[in-house]
Amino acid sequence: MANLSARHTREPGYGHWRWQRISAIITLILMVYFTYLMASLGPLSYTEALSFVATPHQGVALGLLVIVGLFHAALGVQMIIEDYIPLASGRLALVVMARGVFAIASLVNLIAVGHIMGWI
Amino acid sequence: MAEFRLPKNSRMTDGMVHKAPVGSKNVKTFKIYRWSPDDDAQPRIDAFDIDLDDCGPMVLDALIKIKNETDSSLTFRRSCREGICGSCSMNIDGTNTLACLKSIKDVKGDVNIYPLPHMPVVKDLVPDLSNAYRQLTSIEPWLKADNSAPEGEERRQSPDEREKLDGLWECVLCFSCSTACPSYWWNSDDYLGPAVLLQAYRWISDSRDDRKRERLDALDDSFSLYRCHTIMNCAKTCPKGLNPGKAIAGIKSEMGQR
Repeated sequence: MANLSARHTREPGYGHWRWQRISAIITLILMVYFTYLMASLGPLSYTEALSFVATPHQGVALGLLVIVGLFHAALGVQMIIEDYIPLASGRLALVVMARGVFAIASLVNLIAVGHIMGWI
Repeated sequence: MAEFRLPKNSRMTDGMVHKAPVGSKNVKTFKIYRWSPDDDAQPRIDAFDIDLDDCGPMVLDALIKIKNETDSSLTFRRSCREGICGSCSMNIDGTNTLACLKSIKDVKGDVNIYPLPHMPVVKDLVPDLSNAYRQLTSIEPWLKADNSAPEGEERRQSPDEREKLDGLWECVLCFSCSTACPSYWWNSDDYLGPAVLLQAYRWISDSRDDRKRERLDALDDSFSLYRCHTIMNCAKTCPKGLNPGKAIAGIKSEMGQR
């Protein structure tokens, strides 16, 4: 099959598309779970909130929400950059930069949750 | 405050006004985009008053009447006049369609006619479709079978296998869908667009074709296929009532089953 243009760097698209949908479903489920939980628990003090996050299964669920949610956001931002930014305007650099920002944000959030849970 | 303006050669100016013959009673105004590469003038909108009592029912009839009787320099593609050839695709009343299938009666007020959007204009209502045809060629839209057909026989399909091609083979390649797609506007160099992807799915779905895997592999990159964000302008505008968005979803589904 003919390759049309070398203007864009071509990487497989199916993986990105599939992970965007998988991460969306996981994020949605976890967000519904935490929304329901927060609504049923009512207002919490700072100490009560820390104790809530420190519970192993809540902490793991929160960590998962952060990781998967930010992963989904990174995929979405990449899609937006690829749609709107021409290659000549530094699109590749922007995609790498966005991935870096989301990776750092994920790490910081994981450290925070791990610290609250007493794992770090 | 910042002021945004279109580039000079995209700013429309008022053009000539051609009045209907004296005594005309059923008059409708056709406002038509005009631009010629032969002069430095900006694009203009010419107004033609047409007596509908002396004109066929379709927009293409009016265009042919204008060309025959008022302004022979008006340039547009046309051929079959019955929605089969796909030549007369243009933007009429804000929607991409075939002029031969668009009834004048369906347009309220003046009839605004522009070339297909976001394509280079050759002249007046004629867009340059070179890129679209190059993209069509890239998907190799012909049967690729490992073995030749049995001597003196056709390649047979079951009714179910043949049914899979319905909604795909009817495409007349007018490119109304691709030129209505914002994703195609943004990345028309690399995104194949709904018209070409519908054609790709037509061959992917064909039970007689032996290159399904190869066809899918060729589409699996972040630009050829995955710029489709299911905006669905393609299905809304298709003058043949087809659904390229569904075909694109079909390709994505086949990708997962490779």
